[in-house]
Amino acid sequence: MSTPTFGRRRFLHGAGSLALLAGTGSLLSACNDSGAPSSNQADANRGAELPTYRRFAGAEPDLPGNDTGVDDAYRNFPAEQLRSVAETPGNGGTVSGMANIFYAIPPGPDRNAFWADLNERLGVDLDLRMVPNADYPTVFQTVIAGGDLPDLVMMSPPPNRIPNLPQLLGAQFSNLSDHLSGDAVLDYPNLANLSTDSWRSTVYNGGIYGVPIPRGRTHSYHFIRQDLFEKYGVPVELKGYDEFAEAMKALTDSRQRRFALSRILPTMKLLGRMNNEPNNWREEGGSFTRSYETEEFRQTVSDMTELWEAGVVHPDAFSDTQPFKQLFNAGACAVNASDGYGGWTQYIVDNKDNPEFELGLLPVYTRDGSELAPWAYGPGQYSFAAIKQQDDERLTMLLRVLNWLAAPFGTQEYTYRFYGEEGRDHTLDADGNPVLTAEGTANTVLPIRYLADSPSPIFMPGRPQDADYQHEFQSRVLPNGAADPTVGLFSNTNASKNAAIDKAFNDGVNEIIQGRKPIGDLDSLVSDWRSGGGDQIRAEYEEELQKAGGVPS
Amino acid sequence: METPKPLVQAIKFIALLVSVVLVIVPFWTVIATSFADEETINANAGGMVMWPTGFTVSSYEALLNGGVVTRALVISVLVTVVGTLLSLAVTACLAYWLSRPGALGAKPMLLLVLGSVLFSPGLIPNYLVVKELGLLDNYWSLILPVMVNGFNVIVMRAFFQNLPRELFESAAIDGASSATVLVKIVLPLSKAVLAVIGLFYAVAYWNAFFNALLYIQSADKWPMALVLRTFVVNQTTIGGDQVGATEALPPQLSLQMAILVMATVPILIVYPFLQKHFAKGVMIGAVKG
Repeated sequence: MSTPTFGRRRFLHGAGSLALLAGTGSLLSACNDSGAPSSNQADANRGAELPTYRRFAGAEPDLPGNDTGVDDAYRNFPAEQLRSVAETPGNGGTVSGMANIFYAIPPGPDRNAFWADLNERLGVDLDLRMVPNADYPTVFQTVIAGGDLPDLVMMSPPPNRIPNLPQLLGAQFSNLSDHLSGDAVLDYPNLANLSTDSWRSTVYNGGIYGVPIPRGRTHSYHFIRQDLFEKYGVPVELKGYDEFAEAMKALTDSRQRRFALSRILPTMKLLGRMNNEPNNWREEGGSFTRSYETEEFRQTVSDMTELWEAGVVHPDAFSDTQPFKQLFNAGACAVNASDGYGGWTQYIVDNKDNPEFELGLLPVYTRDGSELAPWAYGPGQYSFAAIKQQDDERLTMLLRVLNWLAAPFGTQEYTYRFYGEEGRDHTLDADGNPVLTAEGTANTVLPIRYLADSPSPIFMPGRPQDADYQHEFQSRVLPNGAADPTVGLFSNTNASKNAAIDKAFNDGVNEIIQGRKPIGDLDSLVSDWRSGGGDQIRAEYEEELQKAGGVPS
Repeated sequence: METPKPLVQAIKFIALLVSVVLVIVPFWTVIATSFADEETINANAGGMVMWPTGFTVSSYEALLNGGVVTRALVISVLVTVVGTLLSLAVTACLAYWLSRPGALGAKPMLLLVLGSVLFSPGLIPNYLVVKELGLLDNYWSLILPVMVNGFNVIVMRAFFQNLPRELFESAAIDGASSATVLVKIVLPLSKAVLAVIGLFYAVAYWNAFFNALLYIQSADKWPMALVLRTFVVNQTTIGGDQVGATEALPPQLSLQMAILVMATVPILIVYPFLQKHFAKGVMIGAVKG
């Protein structure tokens, strides 16, 4: 009798068989890809009729927004709230959905009165898969590949980084054009209240494939600890790079573990605006230039290197896991150079027990300090929610549900969506503003706002001065700005390769900033970025732009 | 044996001391921060503390007060214990089968085991299998897909093969069945390898977050590793409701570090109990007689 052995020849034989099996799998996968529709042509997309915009006639803002992108501002919560949806949208069945969540996952409807009541108001049994935001891309890919799609799926943000997105949408999700194009959207008044800009990135294969989760043009703020600026006698109006660098030095005391700036990339975004870098891409006469390729970017790298050498940046600035929000809250960093503009609310809430904390916003001037730098406009949406392919009747019901979830500020539905039931989830302060209770704080974070949302107004309960401050800031900075010209265009190379080449590029830039490489190496980094896929991305965008007939006005 | 010169001894001592300090200090700061109050953390610019001058156990009280962390801890212990026992049982049976000369079907099975070591089926095929088995959002999805590790099977098989052949022959003469030989002779002689492989499995079950992320949809069923990832690595804000705190919440950093301690200590505790077997077990195959 012999012991089972595993010789070299036997191993090679087995390995070959397994490799063949693996190859078969790939082939099957490729067949599946090719079977999906691939009619994503920019001219067809541009030809798709976007939903008619009709502003919801709701609560009058104390400080109205305007066409430059300034949001409506409310000093106090509207006392009278309209009902924006007359009838219960659902039909009693289950509606499943998947979205990311930025908070700890709340309890299920059996232990969450807010969720249970929401189900009643929607007339459905909402079955939500909530995925921590950092892990959403992985779970999204797996669920898509698994083929067991929920009714409503938040596309992994940003959607234009999802490989083969047009094919995916065409094969598995509903074309909503018949229901939403033009005046058809008026059947869903809260969806008609979403800006035209926010719909552009939902158009693929010549149709509308989702409901946008809108975000304002402001997109991000340069947050500062106003109290620390005042404490150390640093002005907020820093005109030009020299004043900015001096101010950062004045805010830093490394012996006290206090630094002006927390993270590298956000600081580079701020410097990039100061140096007049393009908003990701620059378009001139149909040709695209990535910001990395410009002299302005080189200047930004040089400035960033200087700031790093000056020791005004937190030592953990290159770490992806740096707790920058905690450092900002603790006063260990005075500037959070670029963060989502919705972060205002979170910073105020996080520091409600800290009487010294005063939040402010930094206006960025051009490098020479002569005027405010152009603002980098956001893409108009966080992502969009797509609906799994299903019959028209159910599709209509799902759109009614999304219409309910998109109810704007000052409506009864909005109040419930964000603040729940009075008494249980929130109480009213002396000015009638809702203040979440402990139960409400935990339960209302349900990520329904990532399936549909309304335009976000400026409103901070109990802090009317915040409405004036932010409205004035937006009114100052937004009139002069630049949009990313690739918004609404799709490059599959960008979706599949950008993450890798971008990381390699940024790793190289980080080495330059830390002094491990000379700034001259930036040329080879750009060259590697171009050959690694950058040129292909550019070519695809240029082709799309040509077919589309130019950047939308 | 020649005694090393004092200078050499001093250099060795310093080198070892530096190594120990490098290992101990990060652990110490994690533990110290988990016991620090808000004032101490703010005094350290919101960062890690070396000495918790404002000592408090409030983070542990909050975490053990019946919220998501307490639940996750219980789930992790159960998954680890059940998973490790099942893994050891199946691995031992499989290794015993593959170690027996001329056992029926042993050759193709060995090929499959080696194949599983060399080639991973990948994320999506695994997900599809779990989905088709109806195991999504089920605790078994944390155990069954990883229950047998090919490398562990091969190590255990090698150990079994080195047991004296005479023992098997005499047992066979006495009329013992294969199962009796395994249970009454092989396993009692294999405590060292069982301890090592058991530890490998236990650590893997305890630390596994990825399968839970993919397969477990309800946060109520999260194991400790996924809680750790969400609140410490991804820095999701911990709310009062999540940790069962009724009063003011301890500082986030202190809570995060307390979670880290609670996720690390239970598995560390296992080591001293297995150390005796572990030292012997890891030498398997190191010296051929």
